[in-house]
Amino acid sequence: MSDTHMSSSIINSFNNFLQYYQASNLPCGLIIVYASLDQKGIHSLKTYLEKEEPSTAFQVSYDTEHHILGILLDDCDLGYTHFYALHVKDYLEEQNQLLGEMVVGNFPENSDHAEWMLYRMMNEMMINQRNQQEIRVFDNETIQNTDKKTILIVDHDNSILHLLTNYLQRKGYIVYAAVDGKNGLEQYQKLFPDLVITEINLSGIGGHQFINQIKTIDKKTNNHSEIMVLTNKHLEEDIKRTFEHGAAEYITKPFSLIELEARIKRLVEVTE
Amino acid sequence: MVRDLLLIYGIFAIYYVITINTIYFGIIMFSFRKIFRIMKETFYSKYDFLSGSKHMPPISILVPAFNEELTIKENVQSLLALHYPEHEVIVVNDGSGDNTTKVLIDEFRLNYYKPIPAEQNTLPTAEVKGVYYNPEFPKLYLIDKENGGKADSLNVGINFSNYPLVSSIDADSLLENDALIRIARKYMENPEEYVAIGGNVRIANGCSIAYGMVQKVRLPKKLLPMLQTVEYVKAFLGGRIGWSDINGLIIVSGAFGVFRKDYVLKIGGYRGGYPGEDMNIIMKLHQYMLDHKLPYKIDFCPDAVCWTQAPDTFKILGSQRKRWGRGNLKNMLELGTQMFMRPRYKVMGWLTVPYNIIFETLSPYFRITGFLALVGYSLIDMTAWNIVAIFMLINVLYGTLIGMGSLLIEELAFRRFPRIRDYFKMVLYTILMFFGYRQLGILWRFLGHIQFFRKNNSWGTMTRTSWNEDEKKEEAA
Repeated sequence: MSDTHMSSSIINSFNNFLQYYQASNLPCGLIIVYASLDQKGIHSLKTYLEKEEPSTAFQVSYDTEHHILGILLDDCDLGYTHFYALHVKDYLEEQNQLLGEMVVGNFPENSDHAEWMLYRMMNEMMINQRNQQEIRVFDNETIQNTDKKTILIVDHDNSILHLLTNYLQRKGYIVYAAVDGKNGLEQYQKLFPDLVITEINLSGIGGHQFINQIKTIDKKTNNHSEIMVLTNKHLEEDIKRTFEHGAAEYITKPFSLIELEARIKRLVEVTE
Repeated sequence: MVRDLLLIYGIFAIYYVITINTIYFGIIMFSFRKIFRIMKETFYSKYDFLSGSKHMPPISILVPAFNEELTIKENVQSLLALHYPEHEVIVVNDGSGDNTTKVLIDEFRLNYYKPIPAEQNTLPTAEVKGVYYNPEFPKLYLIDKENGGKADSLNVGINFSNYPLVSSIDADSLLENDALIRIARKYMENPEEYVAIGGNVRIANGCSIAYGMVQKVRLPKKLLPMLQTVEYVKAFLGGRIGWSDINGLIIVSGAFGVFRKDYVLKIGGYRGGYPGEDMNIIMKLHQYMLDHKLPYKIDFCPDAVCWTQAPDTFKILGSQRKRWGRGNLKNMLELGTQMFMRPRYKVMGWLTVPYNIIFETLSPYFRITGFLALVGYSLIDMTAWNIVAIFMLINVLYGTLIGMGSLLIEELAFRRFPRIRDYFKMVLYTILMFFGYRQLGILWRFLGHIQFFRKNNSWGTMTRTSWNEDEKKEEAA
C-alpha cells in the first residue's frame, strides 16, 4: 500500500549491537547512506573497507526496500567516524552506487542513547529526503534542547503526514510519523513523545485499539503522553469512545492548521 | 450415415461454442460501457471523508467460521479496523473442531453470555450455544453454535445482527480498508432499489501480507493460482460488470457481498443443505422482486476489493470446482427451471437463466460429446482432420479475445499489478488457459454433476495456511 513505512531492516539488525554498546557504555560510530547495492556490491565494499582501515571492526546492513546502507563502527569517536564515512563515500562514488545524502553519528558524543540515535537518524533521513550527496553529522538538538516537544503523528494518508510534519517542524516541534497502528505502537515505545496525533481509521489495528494500547503501555512504564485524535470520523459514538479511552482532543477533518496548532500548544505546553 | 450424423452433431457443437463466446462477447461490451461510468464515479468520490460520515448506513459484517484458527485473529482485527463509520463484526463459529473460538476469546478477552431466545419471524437455525462479547470491543460479537453449514451460520448471523444491511464475508478473505465504504457509497445512490451489491474478489497468492492487509500486490508464482487469477479477472471484470449493467447478475460472490436485510428475511435467508448458497440467494432475490413487481437493482462494485487464497493443488481446486458444479446444478434445477423463458422474469428469464442453463450447466455435455463426435468423424475419414482443428481453433481464439478484453478493463480502470511484466504474464496465461486448464474445469463440473446425482453432498476439503506463515515463506524464498 504505502512506501513510507518509517522503519527499516537496519534498525532490527543493529538493535542487539546498540543495546550492547548502551549497556557497556562503549563508544561506537554509525553511518547511514542512500546507496544502490546488491549482494556482490556489499561484499566488495566490505573487502575495500577491510583493506583501507584494517584496524576497525565494523558491521554492515543493507535495507533493500529503502536502498539504505548502514555501517556500525566499533570503538571510535565522532571525528574518526566522519573520516571513515569519507572512505565509504569515495568508494560509493567511484562505483556509481551513491544515491543521496549520508548521515553520521556517534555514541555517546551525539546522543546518550544509542538505539534512539539510529532510530532518529533513519527517521530524519527518510522524512526529508534530500538529494545532495553530502555527509551530514547527526544534529543532536533533541538532547541538548530539552524544551522542544516531540510529536508522533499516525495517519494512513501520506499527504496529511507530510503536511503536518513540515508545518509542525517549522513551528519548532520534533515530529515523527507512522502510517499504521502497528508501526505507530513500535515508534511510541521507542520515542515516548509528548503528544500523539492519531487517525481512527488506521490499518492493521484500529485507532481505538491503538489508543487503548498506548494507555496500557503508559500504565506499565509510568509515562504520560497526551493523545489527540484527528480523524475523518464524525460520529458521536467515536468521540465518546476515544474520550473514554483517555484521549484529550478530538478534531475532525477537514481541519485548520491554526486551530490544530493552538490546541497542540495548549496540550503540551500548559500541562507541564 | 453414422459419419453424417457425427458431422452434423459436431457442427452443432461448433456453433454452440461460437454462440457461448458471442454472448460473452456481448456481455463484455456491456462491461466496457459501464466501466467508464464506474471510473468517473469512483474518481470523484471522497472515500476518506465518507468513511466518517454520519449519513452512511450501519452494516453488520457476518463471518461464518469453520476451522479457521490459523487466520481468524488477523482477519477479525482487520475487519474491526475497516474504514467505515458504523459497523459490527459478527463471527459465527460453526461448531469448529479446532481452536477457532479459543483464539478469539483469548485475543479479545471475550466473556460468555447466554444466547437470547430467537424472536419470532427470524430464520430457523441450528442451536446457538452462546454469545461472547467484551465491552472494550463494542463492535465485536462471537457466536458459538452447533455445526449446521455455511448457510446456517449466515442465518444465525442475520438473526443476531443489529443493522439494516448485512455483509457476508469468508473467514479466509481479507477486505481492503475502503471496500465497505465503496460498496456503501454505491448503495446510497439509491437505497430503495439496491437489494444486493457484490464486491470484486482477487487472488492473494503471491502478494505480501502483513497485519491482515495486502501490502504489495504481486502475481502468484505457482501455476494453478496464476491461472485462477486470470480466470477471476475474466469472470469478475469481463463478466459481472456487464451482467450487472443489464441487471442480470446471477451471483454475488460468497466471499464478499452486501445485502438489504429486510429482503433477505423475506426470502427466508440462505438455503442450507447444498453448496452454491451465494448464487441461490441472488436468484431468489431476483425472483421475489420480480414476482412482486418491485423496482430493484443487484449490482457489482469492482473497486471494492476482497483478497482470497486460491487453492494451489489439483486435489483442492478439483473439490472446489466439483462443489461449484453441484451447487450450480442444484440451483438450476430448483430455481432456474421456474424462471426459464418466463416473460415475467425479464432479463433473468430471457437471458441470464437460459445462458446459465444452456451454456454453463450443460456445457460439459455439449462440449465433451461434440468434441468426441468430431474426433470420431475424422477417425472414420482421416482426410477430415481439419474439422477438429477448426473446433479447437475457434475455442482458443474466441476465448483469448474475450480474455484480452477483460485484461484491458483491468488495465484501463484498476491497474492493480504495478509491473509491466505482470501484464505480459497475464496475457500469456490467458492463452495458456485453453490448453488443459479449461478442459479440466469442464471435467470437474461434470464430475460434480455425478456427485450430485449420487447424493454425495460433502463440502469437500479446503485447507488454510496462516496469512503470516504465507508471508514468512515468501520472505524465505
